[in-house]
Amino acid sequence: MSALVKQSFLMNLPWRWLLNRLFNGGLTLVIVLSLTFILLRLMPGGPFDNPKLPESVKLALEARYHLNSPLWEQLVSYFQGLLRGDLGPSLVNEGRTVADLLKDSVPVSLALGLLAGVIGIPAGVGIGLWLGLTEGTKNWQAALVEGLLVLILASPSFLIAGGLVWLFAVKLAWLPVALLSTPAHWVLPVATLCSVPIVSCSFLVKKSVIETKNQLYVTLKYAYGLPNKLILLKHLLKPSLLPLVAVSAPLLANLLTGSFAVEYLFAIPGMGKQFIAAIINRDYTVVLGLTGLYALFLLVFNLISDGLLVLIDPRLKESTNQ
Amino acid sequence: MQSAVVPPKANNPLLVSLQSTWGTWGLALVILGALSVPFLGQDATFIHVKSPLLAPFSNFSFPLGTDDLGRDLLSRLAVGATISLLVGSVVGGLSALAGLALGLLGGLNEGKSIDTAINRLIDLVYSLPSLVIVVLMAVFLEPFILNLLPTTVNSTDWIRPVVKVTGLILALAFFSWPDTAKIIRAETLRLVREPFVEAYYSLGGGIGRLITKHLLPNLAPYLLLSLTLSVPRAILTESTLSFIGLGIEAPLSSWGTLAAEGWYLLKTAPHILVLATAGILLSMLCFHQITQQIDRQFARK
Repeated sequence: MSALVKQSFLMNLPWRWLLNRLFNGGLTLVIVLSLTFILLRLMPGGPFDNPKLPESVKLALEARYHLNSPLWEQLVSYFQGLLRGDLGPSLVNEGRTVADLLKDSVPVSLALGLLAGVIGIPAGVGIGLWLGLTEGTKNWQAALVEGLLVLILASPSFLIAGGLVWLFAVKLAWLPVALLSTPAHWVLPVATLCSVPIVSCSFLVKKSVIETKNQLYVTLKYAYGLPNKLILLKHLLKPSLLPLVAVSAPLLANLLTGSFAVEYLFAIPGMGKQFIAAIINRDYTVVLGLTGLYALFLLVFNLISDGLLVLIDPRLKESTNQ
Repeated sequence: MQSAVVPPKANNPLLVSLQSTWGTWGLALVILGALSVPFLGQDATFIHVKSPLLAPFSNFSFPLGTDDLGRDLLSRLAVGATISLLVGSVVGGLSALAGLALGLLGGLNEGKSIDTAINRLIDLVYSLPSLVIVVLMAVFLEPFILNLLPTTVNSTDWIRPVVKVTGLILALAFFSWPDTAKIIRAETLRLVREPFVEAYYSLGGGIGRLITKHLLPNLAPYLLLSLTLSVPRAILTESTLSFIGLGIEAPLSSWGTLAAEGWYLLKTAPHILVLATAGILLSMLCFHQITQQIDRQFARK
């Protein structure tokens, strides 16, 4: 029996949809990498532009990394390397590969972003639920929280970070200002990153709860005498699940790819910092690796969220199949 | 032939309701501040060596004080408003134009290959890591545009920062138009199914007049809505990039560069950060208020 259920569940999964999406994702990745490759090469300057470097040494270095062969040949050989799982050597950091460098920075950014998402999304849902339920009653705390959320929505991330650092690190001196070593160092960067999912999730859930709470079927559930908690979770939160899943993927991807300002302010050795340094130094392979990874994160998160949406509501197969 | 919709009049409910929000008036204040640069009587880039880091309201000729180099903060704030609003409005305008054109093109040719192509392009832009590519494009476009210009213009010293801003604007607009195109396409799809469009076609009307007389007036509120979303986002991204040092460059300055400066001087001159913050926050809150008002007006329909 259970084997049968399992089999039919596997059969019913949208395999064709998944294959289609994977193919499109791969294509997008190839386009992103090719575009970045061409953009990088059209930029003036190169990794070995050092006035102290003799011309012969520069030429030898360029020959060593095959920078003087035709552009399309380099592109093809880069993709050949990628297929073998080889991201190439770093051009500026002597003796280190791109994979090596990514191993230093990616876990940091990934941990920060995921932590912010894991804390921020449920917190946003909770706040949204509370705001939706108190809507219409003259609750001053709710009005205060809502005003605060609008203020956070209106501020760029460096302002939120600045405010938090000024209050908790400078004035109160409870927490360290920057860097990442002890758990206490993680509090302020994660709190800054959290603000985005908290604001967007709470507004989304609030809107949905306000729409749902006065529906007749919800009143009926109260009349039945169902426990409050059950009504909240099952009937008030459920309608917001679909838009929540749809919004979480770009949110999480943005937390990972958009933490430039936070990494800059807190001097965190993550992907954003590495990316900026690599652009300035014209470290072509590192820029390519990071851009590809950013695009990959975005694609994977979008795929997961669209997959969840399709599982929740199979009618969406059409609209999410690019 | 009579137009099927009432053309926007002075008592258009959307415009009337916008007049009654403080968002519109706050934004007008910011624009007024940006336009006041030539009337302030101070050069924002002039360095007054003898009076660095003056506190606000302490000196009559520098009403809001000076920064660490002795530059007048009031005029720097106004210049910042000019640059931030300029970037925001040009990005908004470009993405509105591109979004309107491509959204209409897709919506009027639903299901045809041109529509599919536009949709694919939108999906591609959405799947790009935007901030990363904006940084890359802004760095790349600067020398690229410089190479295109004739050498006589090229050698003037004001051209570099201007070209840098242009590159940033183009990069931001590239990621901003798909939102507008999506809204316009969906709305066009809804409109072309309305009976008045069918009546228009059956009377032998052409496509050009349909767009200018019938579709555009109906699309205008949606275009306004997409502008109130794209302009503040461009301003916010620009200020974040300028803050990290990848956006606007000296001698130009925006609220983001001013905030970066205030950040370094937080302990000695906190008023610099407060002023830059006030500029950004005020305009963002105004845009938020206007968006909410338009949303409310749509919900009332």
